[in-house]
Amino acid sequence: MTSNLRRIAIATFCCALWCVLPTATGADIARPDNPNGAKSVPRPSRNDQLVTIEIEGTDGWQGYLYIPESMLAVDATSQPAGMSAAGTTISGVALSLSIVFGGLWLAKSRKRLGTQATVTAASILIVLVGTATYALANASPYPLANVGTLRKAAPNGDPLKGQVRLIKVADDGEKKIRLVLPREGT
Amino acid sequence: MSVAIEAIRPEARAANAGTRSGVAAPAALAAAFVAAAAVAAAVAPVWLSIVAVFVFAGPHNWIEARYFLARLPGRWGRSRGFFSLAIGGSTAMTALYVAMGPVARAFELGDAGAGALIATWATLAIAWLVAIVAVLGRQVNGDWTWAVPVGLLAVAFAWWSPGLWWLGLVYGHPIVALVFLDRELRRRPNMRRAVRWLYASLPVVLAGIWIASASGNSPAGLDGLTMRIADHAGATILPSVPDRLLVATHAFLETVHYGVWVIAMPFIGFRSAPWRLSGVPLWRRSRISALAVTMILAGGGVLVAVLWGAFAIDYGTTRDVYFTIAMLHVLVEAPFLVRLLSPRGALDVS
Repeated sequence: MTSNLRRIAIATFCCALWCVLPTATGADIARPDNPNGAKSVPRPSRNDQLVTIEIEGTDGWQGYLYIPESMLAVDATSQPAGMSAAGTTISGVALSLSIVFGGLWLAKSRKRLGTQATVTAASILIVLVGTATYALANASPYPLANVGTLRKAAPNGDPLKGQVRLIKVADDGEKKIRLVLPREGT
Repeated sequence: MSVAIEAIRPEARAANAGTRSGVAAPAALAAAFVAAAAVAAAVAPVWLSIVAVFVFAGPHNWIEARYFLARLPGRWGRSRGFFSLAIGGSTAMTALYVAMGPVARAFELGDAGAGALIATWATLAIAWLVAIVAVLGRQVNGDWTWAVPVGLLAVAFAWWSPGLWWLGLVYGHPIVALVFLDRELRRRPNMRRAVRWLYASLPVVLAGIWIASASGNSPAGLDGLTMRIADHAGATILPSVPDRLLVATHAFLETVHYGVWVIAMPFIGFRSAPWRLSGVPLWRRSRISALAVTMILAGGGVLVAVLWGAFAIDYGTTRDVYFTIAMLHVLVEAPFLVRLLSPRGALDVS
């Protein structure tokens, strides 16, 4: 290995340590309170359910809120939706087989990776791992509630207020609350 | 070395200067196009997305079809397996992709079910691609076994996050055009160098778009079309990323992609005028194949006109239908890309 390449490798390794170690050791430290005094949103417990809300328009003159029967009483035993069991299994098996076949390919081809290629690959890997660790170290262990296009219902953050008629409906299998609102002008 | 030759041979210097001046105008034009697309994406992302798809979606598909037809050998010979698998596979995978929506609606699949459906389709598509690499590898006596671990890694990713995998396809597809253009420029080193500098500037341009978009308001309007455009750019898959940034990024990449195919390729990738079919080897093969090529391109031309008319009548629905069926051209690019990047493989048949 030439001295320049060695210097690059050492510098890259130090950068990676600089990226990874602080985030790894500080990953569980709580964020400071909002200095503006605004209360932060409470972190939900793992038993919280993710609820789909669907807002619709209607030509009628009043609003309705349709709630499945089962959602009126919170089911504390249900788990939040994440990767399905099949998805986890298939993903895990494919990942394992990928590593196994990758190793077999490397051994079979008897390729010796050059110094430059090794340093380049290691640098890319370290930057990716460092960035991912930095970005995701504080990621929630449970899935985020995906607000989707609902944020467009309050584009400026102004609260929307009004009365709707609450209607209890039979379960249709999907946990979905339908909010039906009169169109403007009706 | 070249400097020394130029010093000794004034005529060589003059020739090189002439080549450079021949590069300057197209390079400046390309840079101006990228800059204009970047400004439009930063200032009016939804507008750019609507206009770019309206104007370029149809013609770019036609030019791609013309380009790939010109790169198909007249007689497939030992490549029969490869081309059969490429054409058959891309058609079958497109049909399955089109069927996914109705299936999800018919069986009322929730988010998890839809994710599993996408991951299953992705697994089949990856298996098809690995098979393509294997067939080509055997044909050129090259090592293809690397494709198995890489494919399995892609399958793992698809099942881990089907939404992100699909989004990778949405954002990765425009970049493929840059690879085709770079390959076409291999016999024009000066132009290739200029274009590569332009490629190198794209991350900086994207960073500029992100800075301009991150603090901007949401895309104007709460209409269904804006929401669909935002969804297509990944708004529901990446809820923490501002919609405007996603739409701007996608619109910019898509416009560059269209620019490569519609503006650059006819001048660089075609060895004859697009309407001169005698330059297509398959057209010269037999009367039947000539008729087939003519029908494909003439039918494609009619479809372009129909697409423009449909966009004018109902843009939103036509856009949805177009992006579903357009999966065919995304898939068709894959085997050609594999062939292009293979050790001995080139698209050249001439």
